[in-house]
Amino acid sequence: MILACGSNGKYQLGNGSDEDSSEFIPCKFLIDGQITQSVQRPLKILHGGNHTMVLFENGQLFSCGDNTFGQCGHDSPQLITVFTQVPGKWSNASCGWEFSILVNDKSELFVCGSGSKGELGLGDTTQCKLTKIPIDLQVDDIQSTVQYTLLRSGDNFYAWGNGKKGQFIEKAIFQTPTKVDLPRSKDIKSYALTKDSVVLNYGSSIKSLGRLEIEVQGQIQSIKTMWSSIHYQIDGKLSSQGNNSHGQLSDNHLTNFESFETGSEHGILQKDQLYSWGWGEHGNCGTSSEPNHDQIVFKQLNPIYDQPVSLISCGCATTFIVQ
Amino acid sequence: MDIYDEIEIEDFTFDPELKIFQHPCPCGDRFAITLDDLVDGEDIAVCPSCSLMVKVIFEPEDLEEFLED
Ligand SMILES: [Zn+2]
Repeated sequence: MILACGSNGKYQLGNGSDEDSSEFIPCKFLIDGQITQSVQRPLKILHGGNHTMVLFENGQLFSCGDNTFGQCGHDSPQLITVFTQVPGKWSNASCGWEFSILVNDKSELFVCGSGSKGELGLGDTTQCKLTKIPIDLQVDDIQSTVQYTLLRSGDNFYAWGNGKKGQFIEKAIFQTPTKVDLPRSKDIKSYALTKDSVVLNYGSSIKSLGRLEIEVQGQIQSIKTMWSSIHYQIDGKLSSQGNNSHGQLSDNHLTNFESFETGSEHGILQKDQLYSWGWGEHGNCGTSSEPNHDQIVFKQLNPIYDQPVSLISCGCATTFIVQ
Repeated sequence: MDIYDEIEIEDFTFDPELKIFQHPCPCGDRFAITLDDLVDGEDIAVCPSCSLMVKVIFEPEDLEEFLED
């Protein structure tokens, strides 16, 4: 079962309601004409501005939320209230503000939705139903953020969308997938995207390009990003750099945790149980039981769930967990 | 009042019908400010769905192209 809390104005939590929730509510899936909450652990959950996609190991992909521009991969309706299957067999996906990129089992790229700054990778096209992006690449990793996408193919990286903060090295909008010469691209172990920065993990260092430029040396276990901050596990400790307007930066000395995930401006940490931190105005950080807490800024880790989980995934003021 | 971020005017999208500038908010909605407000020297764009606010970075001459007719 998948559970979700947080911002839900466009049904992005996929539970049939458009009410925000600070409590975890089961996600609903439309399968063979029946609504069910019983699903396997997904491979990954992807998050757009107001839409969500769930990809399963068997290649099935489900989506819900705002489909005004077809960003859920369905021709209609405008709002998809429960997770509904996108026909096809898919191996990967990524979501941006109002668009989605889907990769099928033949490594072909498809795009749907809207974007006026090259987000679709189709040249002048600014809105489309599921359309093939005419490029032939083996896709090893793909990630999208608000207005751009970065794809890894072997040791090569391709970007498209709005790169005007220098995150593609050249300060430019790329209307179609364009090869970018990231520094020491062969040595990049993983990458993550803030709204305006590309963050590269080399295993023994981190370097970011774009609006938020950082350089860090140390043993890097993982990197995650919010829209305006970078978070990494370094020499076993959780550390953060960037915007701290709403408690987004984590405690620099935090150790002894299993993993963490980040959404647009909040994080979830897995230790003995799950804790939230950062900006939780829509219920995405749960509810604090501290007296006089504003339920908006969670500077201290807030216990949010005490049962075992097999996956955590966070979006735009949303938190999803898999039991 | 904690400002969430500072955003350059060129990163806003201008809606010529409504005469407003908009930019994505991390809640899923959009920060918005009217052209009139910017002309009056206001520089805080607000989101209708949450309490976040951003400061718009602009020079008065940046508005000229939007002020035609
Ligand atoms: Zn908002």
